[in-house]
Amino acid sequence: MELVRFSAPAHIDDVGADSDFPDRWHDLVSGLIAESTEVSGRGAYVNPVLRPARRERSRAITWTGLSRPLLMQHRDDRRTAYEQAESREAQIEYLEWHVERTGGAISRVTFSTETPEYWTLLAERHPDVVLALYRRHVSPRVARDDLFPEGVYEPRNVWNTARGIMHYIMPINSLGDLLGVSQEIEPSQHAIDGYDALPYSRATGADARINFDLWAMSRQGLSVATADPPGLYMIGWDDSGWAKPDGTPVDDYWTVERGRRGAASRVTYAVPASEGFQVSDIRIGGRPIEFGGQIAEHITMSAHVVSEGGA
Amino acid sequence: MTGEGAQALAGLMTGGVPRLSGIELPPAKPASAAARDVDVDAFPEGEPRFDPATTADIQGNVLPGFNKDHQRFLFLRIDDVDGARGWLRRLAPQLSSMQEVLEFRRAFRRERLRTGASAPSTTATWIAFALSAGAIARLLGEEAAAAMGDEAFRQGMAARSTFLGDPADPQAPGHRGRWRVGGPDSEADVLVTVAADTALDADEKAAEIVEQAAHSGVRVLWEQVGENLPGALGGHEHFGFKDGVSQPGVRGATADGELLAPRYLDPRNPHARIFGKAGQPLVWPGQFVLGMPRQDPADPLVPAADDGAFPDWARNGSYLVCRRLDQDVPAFWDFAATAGAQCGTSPVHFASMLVGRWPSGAPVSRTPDRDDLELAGDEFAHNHFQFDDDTRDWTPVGGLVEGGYRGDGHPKARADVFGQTCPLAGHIRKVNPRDSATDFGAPADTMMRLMLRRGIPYGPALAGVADPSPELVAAERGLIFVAYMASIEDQFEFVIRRWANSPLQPNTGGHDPVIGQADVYGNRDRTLELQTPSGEVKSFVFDREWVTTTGGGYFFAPAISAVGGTLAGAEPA
Repeated sequence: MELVRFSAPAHIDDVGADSDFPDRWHDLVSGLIAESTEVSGRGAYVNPVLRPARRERSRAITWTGLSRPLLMQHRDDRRTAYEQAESREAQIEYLEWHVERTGGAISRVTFSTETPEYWTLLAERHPDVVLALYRRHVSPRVARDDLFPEGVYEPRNVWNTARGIMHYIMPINSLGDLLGVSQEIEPSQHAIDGYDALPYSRATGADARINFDLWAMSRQGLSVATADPPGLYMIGWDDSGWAKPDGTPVDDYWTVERGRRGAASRVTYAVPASEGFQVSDIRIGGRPIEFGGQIAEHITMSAHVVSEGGA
Repeated sequence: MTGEGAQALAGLMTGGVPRLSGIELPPAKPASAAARDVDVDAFPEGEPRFDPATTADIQGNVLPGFNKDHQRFLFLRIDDVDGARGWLRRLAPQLSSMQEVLEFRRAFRRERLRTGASAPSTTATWIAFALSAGAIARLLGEEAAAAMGDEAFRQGMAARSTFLGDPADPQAPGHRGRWRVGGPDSEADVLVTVAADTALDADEKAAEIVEQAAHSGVRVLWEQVGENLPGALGGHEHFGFKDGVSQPGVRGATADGELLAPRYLDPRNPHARIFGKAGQPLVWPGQFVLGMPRQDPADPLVPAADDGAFPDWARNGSYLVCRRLDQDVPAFWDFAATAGAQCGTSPVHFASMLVGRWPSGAPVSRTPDRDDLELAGDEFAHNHFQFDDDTRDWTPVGGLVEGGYRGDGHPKARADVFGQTCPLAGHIRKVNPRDSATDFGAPADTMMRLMLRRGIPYGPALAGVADPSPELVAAERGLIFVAYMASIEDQFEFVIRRWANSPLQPNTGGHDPVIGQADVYGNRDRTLELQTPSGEVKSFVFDREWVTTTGGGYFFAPAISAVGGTLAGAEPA
């Protein structure tokens, strides 16, 4: 048994050796995990930095990237749900995306699960790295002043909103929110099973998934901790049943730009120029792609926990 | 097929399941009065009443379901639209209503519990009708077809085939171009279902309908025989497992006060508000019948605020999904034998883990190490289990105890968060995660995904047959999957694509090993992870498929009045 030292999300190394960034990141994440809060109850959610854990079992907590509230609100009109999901303000399942169009057609969609905490700290310690990463991943035209007006990093800069995406901007999407919801581990309403916890008022799939999974583990007497590295990932996607304009199945048009397959934090979906068509020309189950949300609906999100104890 | 798999298959269900008997159900009481008897708050207010006009109008295979041993599925094509309208006028009075089937089923339920009989002592032959979006367009115009709220229905099953996981490769056996019916060039306009208590009755009524249709310019594209398996395998599918054990209970009562889903839990049990029988979730009827109050996304005790989108003539109708699923029984049992040996267990035990139930229908969650026929035969207990927490005792309502039910004394299911007893990818856990959260939310969301399943096998049984001939082994067999629902996309397609076909949803751990399909750029390998009690994970890759789609269609089962009225050309009232 040993204490955990938190790694950067997806084990990405943006800073190289001789930086205090890894230490600062570790401290930041640890600071987001309160050992005891009003909703952490018996302390079943633990900070593995402070308490050694055997980490006997790991579990991937999964949910869908497209906003469940929108799908519920528009049960009889899915297209409206997709349309409204195009706004970053509606992307509230820990997955945000940016759609690029060429001549009205979708040419590329970029998905991100990166947190504002990471990028704000990186900007504080390594502003040149942040600028270089924006230029590499978003646009070579990114200017320092665009990101650092008056010398301070602006998370809602134009290259992370109107003209691109690098990390979450929705307040509900953050590492602090993930860990905060995770700490709500004391089963509500004295529920002794999942049915007892109904009705469940939060509408997002992510919140429900995290709450119900951790409540169930807590009821078994397990203590739970975030897996290392803490973070949010695209664990997979399903493009079966997606067809090219000629009706044949699509090839693999996904590119993982940060992270890896199975634990991706930045992914683009674009058709190679050699194919001669655009993302908009692809049909999912016979329906043309009009919105990025139609792709997000087939992306599975994950957060990972480890547990110990229990019967 | 050879070896242990063949032996296990031959030895399935050699003995019958001892059914409950000697139970006299209490007389029906109006739901509200029943609630007042014990606790005014015991039942949620607002469950709908099905008035006589409605129960006479909803088709009987939607509610409560035919459940007959002999069924004929007539896939028909309309050649003459005017002729078809006349045929519909003549067909409508022959269709079986909810009221007709309900009366029969209620009587049989009492008879079954009293005597333990597996078949009713009286007989009936019933008919159901459904039509495709293409048929609506031909009968009522393109605008009317476009007004149907379900986009997947409007597209049709062939257009959604690869989305459902069927092969994209035209050479693959399950490709839509090779289907017996329902492919791009063989889509049916109409599906008529005949259900009877004898094969002869079913054949005669089917022949009569085919003849009537032919005189009106409606011809047969494909006729499918569905037959319940014989003897102790009655109610089982061809792999040998009891099928259809878990069905949702539909909320609501008839005008005479009888609940569609009787409540058997003591009302003082908080779960009595969301279960009919123990383990049978109560679902608002609008999940199956258009225009009825439907499920709320958050709260199972109240209906959603609106009833959904549909044209007025479609009220009291239901979408119908039909899939003709060939089953390669030797392949399934060969795999169970090989993989079981790798895990140090028997083919039957391993196959039961893949399914989540033993061949008898007893859930592995309640009886992890061996089949339990007594549990399987107890219809008040065999569906009572959860996955994430220990399953609690339940007290039957007084009337059931007074009627002779001795209570659920069978072993209880234990919490199984990590899938050590019932694998996370086990079939019944995949398609109905019960109390667990899913990738789409709380258990309240899962209640929105449930369907009313009305399937029946086709082809000769191989299970339970010692030394089968090569011809019998090679014979075509499978399941006519039939299910009714209010949204094909949010119910059938959701469960198939998002859960059965996914190695990640609703939990990581692999594909549904029974009905799941994968197609990753042409690679159709499926995976399965099994956790042993020590936490060790064993991984399997299935490079063979034992369920192959060979036909089907998306249909709509209108109210009977709409068949003889709007669809037959009558002016809207």
